[in-house]
Formats: sequence, structure tokens, C-alpha cells
Amino acid sequence: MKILAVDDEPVFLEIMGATLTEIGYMDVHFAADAQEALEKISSAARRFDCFLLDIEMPGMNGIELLRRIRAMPEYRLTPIVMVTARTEKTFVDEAFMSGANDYVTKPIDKVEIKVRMSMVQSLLSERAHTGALAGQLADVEKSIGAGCDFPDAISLADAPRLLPYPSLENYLLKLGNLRLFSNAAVGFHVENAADIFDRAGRLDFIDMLTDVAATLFDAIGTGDILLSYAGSGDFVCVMPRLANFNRDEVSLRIHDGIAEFSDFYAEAGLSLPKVRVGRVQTPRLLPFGDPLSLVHNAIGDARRGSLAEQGRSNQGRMEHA
Amino acid sequence: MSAATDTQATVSSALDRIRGRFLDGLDMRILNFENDLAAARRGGDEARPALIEIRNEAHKIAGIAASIGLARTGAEARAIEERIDRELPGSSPAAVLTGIEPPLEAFLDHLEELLEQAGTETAG
Repeated sequence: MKILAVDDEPVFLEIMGATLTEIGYMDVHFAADAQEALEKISSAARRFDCFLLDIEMPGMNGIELLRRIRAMPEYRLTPIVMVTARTEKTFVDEAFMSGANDYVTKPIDKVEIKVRMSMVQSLLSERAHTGALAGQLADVEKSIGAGCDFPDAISLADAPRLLPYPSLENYLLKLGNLRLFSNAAVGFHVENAADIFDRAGRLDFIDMLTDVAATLFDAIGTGDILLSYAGSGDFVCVMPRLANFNRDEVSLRIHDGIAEFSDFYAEAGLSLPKVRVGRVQTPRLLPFGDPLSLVHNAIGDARRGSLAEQGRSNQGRMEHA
Repeated sequence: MSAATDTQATVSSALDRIRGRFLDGLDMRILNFENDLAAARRGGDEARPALIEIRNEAHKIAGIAASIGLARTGAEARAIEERIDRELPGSSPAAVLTGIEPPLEAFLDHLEELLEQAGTETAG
């Protein structure tokens, strides 16, 4: 794995290099500031597979560097881990909302770096698996045809601001229960996702998910959210607890937004995705609770709503008959 | 020696070397702190940027010291960084300086002790 570590403190870069070497990563490159990093990226004969970026650097800071890297098509999905001493929620939020996949705090610890690099490895494997990393449509079609399954939490390359699901989990774990308390989550379930998956090609299925993601962003409205696709037709959105989220209005806007794609879906012989919106879930202030239960509950609620409606619909049909 | 022990020994010696380089550059870091502290004491327009420089240097040390076996150094540096972060936005530089001087002086004494120990070890 070819790694670029960026930090303005040379001693820190040496420590990072020694730590990565110890856990088996030998192809590590270094830059002392954002400018040098951008030069190394543009002149690299072979692409970097992972970036480790310090946030606090003089001149261009790590968040801005992250945005510049994300703006390069070839690095849109490359794992980026932010490295900093700052753990305030605003810093963590800004890093993840700008496209970071994970977050490591200084001073670094070998065990933590090992865990974070395992996450990087799994992201790279997942992207190689779905073919999204290639960024080439034909390659995607070939590899997706070979591998992607319905339950997979596919990374949607063409949906900006959409976090890969492992990154959303990292974000919640980094926040911990106390800071998580100021957040809420809502699940969205594409009721006919399995049907579309069975009838459509893998690429059409991914296009459908990308359409749904774009519609969800528009329908939710507020920019201060993190959205992720969790697999099996489930999306989950994490937002500030006090965000003004009106479930009925959002459902209506999603319905109207999806309807705009009618002609495309009719042409492809596919039914329009039907999106069910779950109820807003808020975390309980439990010191030993699992921070991930917030998103699991949100997804579960959206799914249960679908099942309940399906049950009511079946019962209605039976009564009618 | 097994391959694992071999790697551990290599890493340990790498961290020793890094620690050595950190200690080699410590006199320059102390000098920077002292120059910035003097600028903050002079007051005027220089005071706030000087406190920010002190905070930034403390931030750098806080991020590396524990990784090279200097946990106390890291903790003291972090306390200075956090105190300036907390107080500077809402206070005058003079007020921040009053609060930060005692822990900063103690921290500089600690860095000088580290420097002396390193010199003694090298001489020994």
C-alpha cells in the first residue's frame, strides 16, 4: 500500500514512519506541508492508496488539503485518515463532512494505527470488490457483475457528500456516547430495492441508489448531515438533534424528487424506487451504550415501517377480496 | 533472534533515534518559547501572535512526546495548548499571559532538565 503522510512536524513524520513500518507498511512517503503534498500527488507515477493528513498545518490546513485531494477524480474514493490532537465535535464533523474516512488522535499509538489501517485495507478491498475504485464505467460493470451482492454497503462513487458506511460507523465511534447525544438519525428504506436488484443489472442498481441518495440530500434540505448507504436498500442519515426534520414533508419531497426520474426508469423497464422514511431516532445517554445502535435503530425503524405497511396493505387486499 | 523480535528491536532503535533527534532540537524549541514569551511580556501588537506561537509549539510537542517515551512532557505541553485555546479568544493577551506564565516557566524548566539529562547521557 502506497501511503502519503503529511505533517509540518518532522519528528512526527518520523514517528509515523517508524510505526507504519513496524506494522508492515513499507511504502510510506512524506510531505511537510499541503503544497509539497499536492506536488507529490501530481508527480506520482503510481497513485497513492491512502493519505494520513494532519489538520493543523500553517498555510493550507489539512481540511483544505483533504478537499483538494477529494476534488481529484482519481482520489475521490481513496481512504483518507485525518491525524490531529483536536477532538472537538466541530473538528470531527468538518473532517468527515469534507470526505475523511477516519480520524486518529495524536499522540499516535501503535495499536490504534493498526486498527485504523485495517479499516483502510477493508475500504480498499471493498472498492476493489465493487469496482468503484477504478472509476471506469466499463470496469465497474465488469467487476460489479462479478461481485456486488444485495446486502453490500456499496460505496456510491457518483454521490458527493455520501460517506461510505464504515466511515459513518467510525464517525459515531469517534464521537462517543456523550457527544453523540447532540445527534439524531433517520433511516430510509427502499422498499422495492431487492426487486430492482433482481431485475436490473448491477450498474442500474447502483445508478438507482445514486438517484435515491441525491434525492435524499435535496429532500432533507439541511447541509449539516451525514448520509450513508448501509446495504440491502437501507440509507441512514445522521443530523443534529435539533434539526428541523418533518417526516411527512421529507417523505413528500422524496416522492416528488423520485418522480422526476420516471421517464428514465420507464425507458429502462424498471419500477421507480419507493422510499420509506423512518422516525427520528435519538440516542439515550448511557455511558456504556453502543454508539452504533443509533443508526441500527434508525435503519430498523424504516424497515419495520415498510413491513407494517406491507402487512396493512396485504390485510386490506384480503379484506377487499 | 526471531523475525518478530528483530522487527521490535529495529523499531525500538528507530524510536530511540527519533527521541535523540527530538532532544537534539530541544534547545531551539526552548529558545523559541523564550523569545515568544518575551514578546508576549512586551505587550502591544506582538503579544497575541506570540501567545499563538507558544500555543502552536506546545501543540507540536504534545503530539509527539508521548510516542517517544516522554509522556509527562506531552501532558504538560497539552495543558499549555489547551489553556491558551480556552482563554485567548475571550481575554486580553495580558490576562492570558498572567495565567500561563507559571505553568509555562515550569514546563521550560522541565525541558531544560531533559536537555541536561540528554547531555549527561551523551557525555557518559
